[in-house]
Amino acid sequence: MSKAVSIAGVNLRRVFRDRISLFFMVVFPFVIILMIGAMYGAGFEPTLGVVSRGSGALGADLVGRLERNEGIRVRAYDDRGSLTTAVERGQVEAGLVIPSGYDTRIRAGETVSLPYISRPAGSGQEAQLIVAAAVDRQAVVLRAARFAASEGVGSFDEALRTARAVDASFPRVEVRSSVAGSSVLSFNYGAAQELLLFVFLVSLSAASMLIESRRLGVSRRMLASPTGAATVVLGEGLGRFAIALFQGGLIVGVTLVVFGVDWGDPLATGAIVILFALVGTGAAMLMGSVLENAQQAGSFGVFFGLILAALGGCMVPLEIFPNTMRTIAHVTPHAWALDAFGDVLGRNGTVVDIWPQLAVLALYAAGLLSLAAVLFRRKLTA
Amino acid sequence: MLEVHDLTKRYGDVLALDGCSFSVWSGRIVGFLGPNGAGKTTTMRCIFGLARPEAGEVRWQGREVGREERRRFGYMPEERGLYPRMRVREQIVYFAELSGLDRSAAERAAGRWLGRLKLADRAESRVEELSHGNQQRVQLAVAMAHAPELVVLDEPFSGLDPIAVESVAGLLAELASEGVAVLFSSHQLDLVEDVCQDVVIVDHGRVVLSGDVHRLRASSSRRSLRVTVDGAPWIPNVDGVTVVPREEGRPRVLVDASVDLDELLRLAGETGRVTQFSFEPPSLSDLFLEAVTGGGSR
Repeated sequence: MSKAVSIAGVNLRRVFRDRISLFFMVVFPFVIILMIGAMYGAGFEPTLGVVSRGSGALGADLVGRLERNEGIRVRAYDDRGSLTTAVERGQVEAGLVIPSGYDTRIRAGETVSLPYISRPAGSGQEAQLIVAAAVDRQAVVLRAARFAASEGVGSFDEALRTARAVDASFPRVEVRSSVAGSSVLSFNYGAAQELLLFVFLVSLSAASMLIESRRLGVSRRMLASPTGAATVVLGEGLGRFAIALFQGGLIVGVTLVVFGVDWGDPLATGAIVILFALVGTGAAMLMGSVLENAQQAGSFGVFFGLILAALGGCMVPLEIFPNTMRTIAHVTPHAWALDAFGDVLGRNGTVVDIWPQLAVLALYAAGLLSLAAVLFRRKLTA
Repeated sequence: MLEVHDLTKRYGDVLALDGCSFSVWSGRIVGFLGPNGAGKTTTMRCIFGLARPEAGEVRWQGREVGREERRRFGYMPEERGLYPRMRVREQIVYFAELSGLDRSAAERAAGRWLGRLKLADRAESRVEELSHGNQQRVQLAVAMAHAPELVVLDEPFSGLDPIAVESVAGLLAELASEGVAVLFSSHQLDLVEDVCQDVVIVDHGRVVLSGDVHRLRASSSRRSLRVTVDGAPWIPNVDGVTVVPREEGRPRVLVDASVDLDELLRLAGETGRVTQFSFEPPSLSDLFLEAVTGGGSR
C-alpha cells in the first residue's frame, strides 16, 4: 500500500506541476458551481420581461403586483420585439405583454388577453404560474369593483378603492407544496445530475496520465522494480481519485452554502460522491490501460462520458424514460447513483436506505479497477 | 550468477526468442549484442517479468527469478522510463522507494548517486532541462540507487558523446569491481570490446556466440591482417582470405590463423615497399559479423 501512496503522491505532484491541468482542476469546479447555482440554486428567481407602455393605471397595478411577488424579478422592455429577442437569447426566462389601452379596455368591460412568451424548456413554465396568479388576483379585485359599481355603490374608481382595501384585509389561503420522490421538477435532483456528469468526465481525464506513464516507459520501470500491476493502477488512480473527490466535495459544499442547494443527508451524499468518483477513476484506469495515446483518451473520454451520462439519466431524468430504457439505463453507474440521490434528496434517505445502490457502485469500482490492472499488466508484459 | 536458460517467446507468427541461453557472472560486464530484432530487448524483459516466455526460465544465484529476486535487480528500459518534468533527486528517490528502500534510505542513496555521477548541482533540475548525457546518468542512478546485484541496461550508450561514453563506461567498470553483474545491450562494438569482459551475441532469437571476449578473439581460427604497401592497403592473393568491406576507409582482411606469415611478407614485399604489417586476433566487430552473417568473402 505504501508503494501505491508513493505513486499517488507523484501523480498528484505531476498534476500540480502542469499548469493546464491545474487550471482545469481549479476553474472547472467553479464553472459547474456557477452553473448549478444559476440553474438549481434555491435563491434563483426567474426574470420576467414586461412590456407595459400605455397600459394605464391598471397596467401599472399589474406590474406592481408582479414586482411584489418574491418568486420573480421584473425587467421592463419598450416593445414586444425587443422582449421576444430577450426571451430567445435567454436574457429573461419569459415575457409578458400588457397591451396599450389595457386600463381603458378593462374599465370598458372588455376581455383583454395578455400575450405570454417563453422558451420551450427552462423555468418559463414556473414563471407562467406566478404571472397567472398575479393576473387572477387583479381580476378578482376588478370583478368585485365592477360588481359594486353595477350595484350603484359608486363610480368604478370608488368601488375599486373599496375592493382593494377589502382584498388587502381578506385572509388568504396558501398552498404549501412538497416533493415526493425524485421528481423531474426537483432542483436538487438536477444539481445531482450535473454533479455526476462532471465528476465522471473529470475522472476520465486521468486515463491520459496512465497512458503517458506507459509511453515514457515509467510503467515498465515500475513493474520491473518490482511493483505489481494492481499497485501501479491503484496508485495512478488514487491521486486522480483524490482530485475528483475534492472537486465533487467542493461543488457540493459551495452550492450548499452559497446557493442553498439541499444535498440531503451529508453521509449518504458523501458516500455516493466517494463511490462514484471511484467508479470514474476505475473507468479512467481501464481506458488508460487499453488505449494507445492521450488523444484517443481525450476523445473516448468525452464521448463515453457524455453517452453514459445521457443513458444514465444525467441529461434527461430517468422518470421520463420508458420502462425498457430505464432498465437499460441501469447498465450505467450513473443511473444507480441517481437512484441513490433520488432517495437521499427526495425521501430524506440515509446511507441505510441506499445501501443497495452503494453496493452496486462499489462493485462497479472494484470490477473496473481489477479489469484495468489485468489489462494494464497484459499490455506491458505481452 | 544470472542464468538465462532456453527462453522461447513468440509474438504472433514472429519467433522472438528461440531457445536463448547464456549466463552473467557477478563482477563481470557482459555485452549483449545482436542485429535489430535479434531478441535482446525481449530477453531483458523476460528477466524482469515484463515478457512471459512460452518456455525456458531465468535463474539468479540458482533460484528461479521471482519478485524477491527482482528486488536485487536494476533495469534501464529502452524507453528510458523517467518523467521529463520531475526533478532529478525526486525521481531517484521515487524509484528507490518503489524498489524497496524506505524514504530516508532512498534520500541517502539519491544523494550518494548524485555525487558519484557528478549531478549534485542538478539535483533540483527537471530531467527535461538536462543534456542527453546527464539524462542518461540519471537513468543509471535510478537503475542503481537501491544497490542492485544485477544491472540490466538497454542501450545505455545510445546517443552519448565520447566524454559521456567514457564516464558511463567507467561507472560500469566500478560497479563490476564492486561485484555487480552487468548486462547491457549496444550496437557500438568497439566500445563493447573495450568495456566488456564477456559478450553474448544473439541472432534470430538464439545465441550464436558467447564467452570471454579475449578468449573468443584468441581462439578464433581467423586473424586480422593489415598490410600497407607503398601507402595503399594490400590484399594477399592466397587461399582462405576473407575481405570484410568497409563503407569508409580500408577493408578488413581476415586470413586463416595458420597462414605462413613469412610467405605473406615476402609476397607483399614483391609488390613494393611494406610500411605496415600487423597480424592480430580478429576484433569483436569481425567476430560479430562472422557470427551473424558468416562474414564477408573475397
